[in-house]
Amino acid sequence: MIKKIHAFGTSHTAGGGFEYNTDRPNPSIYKRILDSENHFDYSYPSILGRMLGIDIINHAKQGFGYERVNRKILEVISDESFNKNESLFLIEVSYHDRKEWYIKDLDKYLITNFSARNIDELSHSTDYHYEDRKTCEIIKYYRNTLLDFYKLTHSDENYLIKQVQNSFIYMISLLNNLGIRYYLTNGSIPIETAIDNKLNYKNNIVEYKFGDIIASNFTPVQDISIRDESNGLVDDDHKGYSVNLTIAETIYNKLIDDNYLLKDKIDVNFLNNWNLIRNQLFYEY
Amino acid sequence: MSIKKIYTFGTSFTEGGGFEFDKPEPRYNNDGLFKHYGHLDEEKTRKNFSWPGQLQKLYNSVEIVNEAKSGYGNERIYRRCFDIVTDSSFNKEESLFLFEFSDIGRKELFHSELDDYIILNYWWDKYPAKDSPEVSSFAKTYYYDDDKITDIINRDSDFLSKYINKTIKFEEVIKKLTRNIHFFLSFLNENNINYKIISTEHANFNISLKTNNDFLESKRLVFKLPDGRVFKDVMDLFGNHKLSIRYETDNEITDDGHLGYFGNKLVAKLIAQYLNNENIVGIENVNGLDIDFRYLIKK
Repeated sequence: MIKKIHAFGTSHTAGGGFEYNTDRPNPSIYKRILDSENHFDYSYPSILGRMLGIDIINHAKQGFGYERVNRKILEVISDESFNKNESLFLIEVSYHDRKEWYIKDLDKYLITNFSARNIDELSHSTDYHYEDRKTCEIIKYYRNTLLDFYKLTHSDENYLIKQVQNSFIYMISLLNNLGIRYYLTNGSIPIETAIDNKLNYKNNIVEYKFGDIIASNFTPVQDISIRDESNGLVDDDHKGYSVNLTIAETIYNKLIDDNYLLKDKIDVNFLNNWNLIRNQLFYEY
Repeated sequence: MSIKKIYTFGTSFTEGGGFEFDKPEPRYNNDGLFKHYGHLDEEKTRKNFSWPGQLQKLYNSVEIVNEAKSGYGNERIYRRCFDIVTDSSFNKEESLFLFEFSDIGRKELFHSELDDYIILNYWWDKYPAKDSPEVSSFAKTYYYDDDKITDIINRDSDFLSKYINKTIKFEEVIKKLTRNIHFFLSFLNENNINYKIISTEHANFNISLKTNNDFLESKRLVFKLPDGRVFKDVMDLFGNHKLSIRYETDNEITDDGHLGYFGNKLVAKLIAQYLNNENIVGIENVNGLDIDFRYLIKK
C-alpha cells in the first residue's frame, strides 16, 4: 500500500511556469482553477496526491537535473523514517545540458544550464525565480570563473552525454537493487542498445496520450504549453495545467494496473482536460 | 566459479606506487630504488612490484589486469569499471573485480584541451575539517607527464586551485563519496558482477540503506594473519605494520610511504589465500609467494 510519493525532477515536475512571485510568467489567471500561489500545487505530483489523498514530497527543482535527482534519491532512502514498502518514486530524468556544483560561499548547490553547442550561454542559479539579491551578487561574482571552468572541463558534448547516461544507469541500478518502486514520468535516457538491453526499467516508464500523440516523454510535445493553454496570457513554455492533470491521471491508472492501488480506473482524455481547463480559465472572458 | 580474469582497481597503493623504476631522469633519481631492490630476481617495473603483479605469480590460467592509477581515486574506479562492464566483450562469469576504494582528496576532471582526465589532489590536515583543503598537486599521469602536458596543467593550476577552494567542503565530499559508492555498488549488484572490496576508507556504509549493509559486509575481503589476527581493510593491515618502502629501506627512501616489496607480496599472498579458501580462485603456484612472516613487524 503506497502512503507516500516522492517526486524528483526538473521544473516540469516542480510546477514550473506557475511561479507567482515574479512579474513573469504571472500565472494569476490559473487561480480560477486552484486557489494557491505555490507552484508545487499546480504540478502533476500534487494533482496526483490530491487524487489519492496521500502525502507528496516534491524534491524537483527548477533548472536542476539528473545530479540533483540522484542526490535527493539517496537522501530520501538514507533517512531513518523511509519505508520502501509504502513509498513510490516519480522520477523525471533530465538532459545533459545542466551541471550542478556545490558552492561553499553559498553553502548550496548551484546549477549551471548551458547548451553544449554554445558554451558561452550559461545560466546559473541556486533557486530560479526565488533567488535573493545577495545570492545573485555572489553568483555574478563567479560568473567568469564558472564560464572558464566549463570551457575547460565541460565543453565536450560526448563527455556530457556519457555523464547523464551513467547517472541514469546508476540510478536504475540502485532502485532495482533496493527494491524501490518507481515510475519514470518522462521516459528514459538514450543508451547504447547493448547496455540498455541489460537494464530492467522499461515497465516503469509511464506512457501518455495527448490527443493523437502517444508519448512517454511529454517535454517535446508541441502546442500544449501554458502559453498555448492560456491564449498567450501566461508567457511560459512549460506544459499547461491540463497536461499536468493528464499526467497525474495516467499515473493514477498505472498504479491500478500495477496493483499498487485498489480502485477503478478513470477515463483519461487529454482533449477533454484541455477544454475543461480552458473553459475554467476563460469563463466570463 | 571459474575466474579467468581478475581486475584490480585503486590508487597508487594498488598500482605499485613508489616502484617507478623508469621515471624519467634527470627530473627524477632512481638510484635509491635500484640500490635497495636492484638485486632482487624480479622484473624492475612498477607493474611487477605491485601487489597485483605479485598476485599474478600465483596463477597460470588467471590474468591480472591492474586498472589502478597513482593519484586517482574512486571517480576513476567507477569510470573504468563501468567501461569494462558495459563493453560487449566483457565476460562477467569469468571475471572478478577487487576494489581498493580511495581516501577523499582526489577530484577527477575531464580536461577538454588534453581530451583526457586529470586528477586534482588535495588534503586536510585533520578530519572532520572546517577549512578549505590544501591543494597538493595536479597531473594527468604522475611522473610521466611530458613537458607539453605539464605546461598546460601548470597554466591551469591557479584556476583549478580556486575551483577546489570554492567548491570543496568536507561534509559534502563525504556525502558525495557515500552516495557514489552506493550507486556504484548497486550497479555491480544489478549486473551480478563478482567483486570483493579490500579497502573502503571513509565510505560510510552505516547510513540506513538497511537492506544493503549485510550484503556489503559480505563483499569485504578479509585478511587473516598466521597469528590469528584479522583485518577487514587492507589499510588497517598496512597502518598497523612497518610495511612501507620507507621502513623497508631503513629510511633511506624517506619520501615514500607506499607499500614496500614485502608488503606487496604479503597483500598478494593474503588475498590469494582468501580467494582460495572461499573457493573463488584456486592458487595454482603454491610456492609462488614464499614470504617470511618474521618481516611482518608491528608498529
